[in-house]
Amino acid sequence: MNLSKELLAKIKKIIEKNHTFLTLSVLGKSSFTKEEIEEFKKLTGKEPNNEKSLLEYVYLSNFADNPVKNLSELDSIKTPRKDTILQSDEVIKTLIAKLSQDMSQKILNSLIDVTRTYRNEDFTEALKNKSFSEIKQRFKDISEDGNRDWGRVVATEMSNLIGYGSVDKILKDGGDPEETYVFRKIVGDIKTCRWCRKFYGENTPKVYKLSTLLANGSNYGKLKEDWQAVVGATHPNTRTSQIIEIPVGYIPNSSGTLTFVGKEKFLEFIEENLEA
Amino acid sequence: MSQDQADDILLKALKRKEGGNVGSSVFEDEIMREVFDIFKENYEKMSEKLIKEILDELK
Repeated sequence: MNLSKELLAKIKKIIEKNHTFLTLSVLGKSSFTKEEIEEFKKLTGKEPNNEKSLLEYVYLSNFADNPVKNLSELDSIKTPRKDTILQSDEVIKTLIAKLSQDMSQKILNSLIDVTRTYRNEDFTEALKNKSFSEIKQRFKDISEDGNRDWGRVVATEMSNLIGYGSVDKILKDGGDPEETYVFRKIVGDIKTCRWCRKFYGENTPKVYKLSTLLANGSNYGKLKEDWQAVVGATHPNTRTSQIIEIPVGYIPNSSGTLTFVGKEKFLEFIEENLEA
Repeated sequence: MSQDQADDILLKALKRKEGGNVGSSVFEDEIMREVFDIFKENYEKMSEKLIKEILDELK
C-alpha cells in the first residue's frame, strides 16, 4: 500500500478547508478582518455568508433589555463590551485550529495504521476490500471524538458570555459593583461538580459583591486549587446560570427565586451569606 | 446558519418576559439550547462533508 506525500497533503488541505468553514459559520464575517476573509476565500474558493458570531447572540440575549418589539431596537443596545465577545471569538478560533490539527493527526495516523495492516497489498486494491469500511469507521470515531471536544468548547464559551452578558446588563442599568449583591444558580444534579457547589452554594445560594467576582478575574489557565467564583465560565463545561442581582429587600430561596422580605431581613441574609 | 435563522433566535431571546431567563444555564434555557444545537449541527455538517471528501479522494 502506498500513501503518497501528495495524497497526504491533499487530505490535510481538505481538513483545514472544512475547519475554516466551521470557524466562519459559527463566528461570522464580522469576527474577521478583510485580509483574513480574503485568505479564507483563497483557501476555500467561497465567500462566507453569515455576518454575526453565534457567540454575539449568546451575549446579547443575556444582556439585552427584555422585552423588545423588534430587532431594530438592537442598534441602541449593541455590545457595550465588544472586547468580551472578541476574546471569546479568539478562543474559538484557536480551539478550532487545534481541533483541525488533532483531527488531521488522527486521520493520518489511522491511514498509516491501515497501510501497515495491508502492507503487502496495493493501496487501491486494499481500499476495494474491507479496509475501506474499516477506514470509514475509524473516521467516524475520530469525528465523534472531535464532536465531544467541540461540545465542551462551545458550552464553556457560551457560559462565559452568559455570565458577562448578565453582568454588563447590571452595570449598564447603573449597578455599583461595590454595592451590588449577586448570586448564581447551579444545576444541582449528579453531574454538578464540587467546585460549583462550593463557590455558589447548594441549598442556600452564596452571595458575592459584584466587585469581588470582577476582581477574581478568570479561571482560564489556573490550577483547580486556585479556581475562584468568577463572572465568566468557572471551568470547562460549566453549566451555571447568569449572574443574578439581589435587589434591596429581596432574598433568593433554594431554587433561586427572589422573594420580597423587606430591608431588615435582606441585610440579615447578606450578613449571613456574603462570601469574601 | 442563515441570517434569518440567527435573527429569529435573537428575537425570541429578546422577547422573553423580564426576568424570564434569569437563572438559566446553557442547558436549561430553551434559546441557549437552540444556539448550542446550531453550534453542534455546524460541526456535524462540517465533519460529514470532510469525511466524504477524504473518502472520495481515497477511492
